[in-house]
Amino acid sequence: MEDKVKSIMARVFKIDPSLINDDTAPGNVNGWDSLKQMSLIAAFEDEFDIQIDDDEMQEMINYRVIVAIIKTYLED
Amino acid sequence: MKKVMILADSCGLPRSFPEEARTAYEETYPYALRRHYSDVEFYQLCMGGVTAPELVGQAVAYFDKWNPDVIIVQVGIDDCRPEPVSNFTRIVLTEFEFLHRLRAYVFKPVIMKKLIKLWPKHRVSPSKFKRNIKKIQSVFPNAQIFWLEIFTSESGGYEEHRPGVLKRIDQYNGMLKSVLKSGFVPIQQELNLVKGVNADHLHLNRIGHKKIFDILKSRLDQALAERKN
Repeated sequence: MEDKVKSIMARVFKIDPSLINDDTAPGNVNGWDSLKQMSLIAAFEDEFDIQIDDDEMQEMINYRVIVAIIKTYLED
Repeated sequence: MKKVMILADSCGLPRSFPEEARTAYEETYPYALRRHYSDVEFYQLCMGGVTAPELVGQAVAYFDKWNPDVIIVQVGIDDCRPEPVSNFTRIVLTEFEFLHRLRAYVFKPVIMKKLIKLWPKHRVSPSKFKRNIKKIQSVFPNAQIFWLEIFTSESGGYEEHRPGVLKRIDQYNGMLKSVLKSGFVPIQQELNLVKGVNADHLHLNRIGHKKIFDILKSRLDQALAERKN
C-alpha cells in the first residue's frame, strides 16, 4: 500500500518515488498546491476504491499522515 | 521531557451551570493533571460540542510531528447521540435566523423526539467513529492512547431527551474497547459510585472531575514510568 501511495504521489507531482519519505509535504514539493491536492485525493480514491471525507482532505498534509489515513479506509 | 496531549469535548471544561454543580477551571481534571505533573509538557484542546473526527482531525493536522508519549481523549457523546435530522438539514436550520427560531421554539420541544424515534440519524456514523479511533493510533504510533468511556448519568435520564442514546453509547464504547483494548478507560461505574455526573446527564461535576483525575493519574503514572525505562 505504501508503494502505491508513493507511486501515485510521484505521478501527480512528477517526482521520483525514491524521493518521497515521511516528511514529504507541500512545503518541500514543488507545485503541491490546493489543485494538486484535489488531483491527489481523486487518484487515491480511484486507486484504492475509497471515498475520502471532505474534512479529511485537509488533514492529508504529508506522506506519513496520508498513509495512516488511507490505511484506516482500507481496514474499514 | 515527557509529553501528554489532552483532547476533550466539554467534559474537559469548567461549567457554570446548573448552579449547584458549578465547576471551576481549577477543579477540572485537565487542570489538575497539569498541576500534578509539573515536569511533563501538556497540550490541551477542549471544545464544547465537538465530535471525534473534529478533535482527532485537529491533532492529526497540526500535531503529527509533536510525538506525545500519552494522548488522553474524551469525546464521543456528540458522535453517538441519535439526531432528528441529517447533518445538512441541521446546518440549514442553524444558519438561517427564521429557521433557527423555528428550531428553538417548535422543532426542538415538539417534533424532535418523535423524529428521533421514527428515523434516528447519526451525526457521526459508527464506521467513521471507528476509523477515527484507528486514525489517531496510526498517526501517533508511539503514543499510549487513553480514551475515556462515553458516559451518561446513572439514572439514564438522557434517554428521555434522546431516545436510543443508551444503545448507541454501548455500541460506540464497544468500538473503543475493541480497537484500543487496554487503552479504553472505563469510568461509568466509578462515576455512578461517587455521583460524579451533572444534573444535565452529560457533564462531570467537581466530584466527577476529581474521580477522573484519580483514574487517569494511576494510568499516567504507569505509562510515564514505562517510557522512562
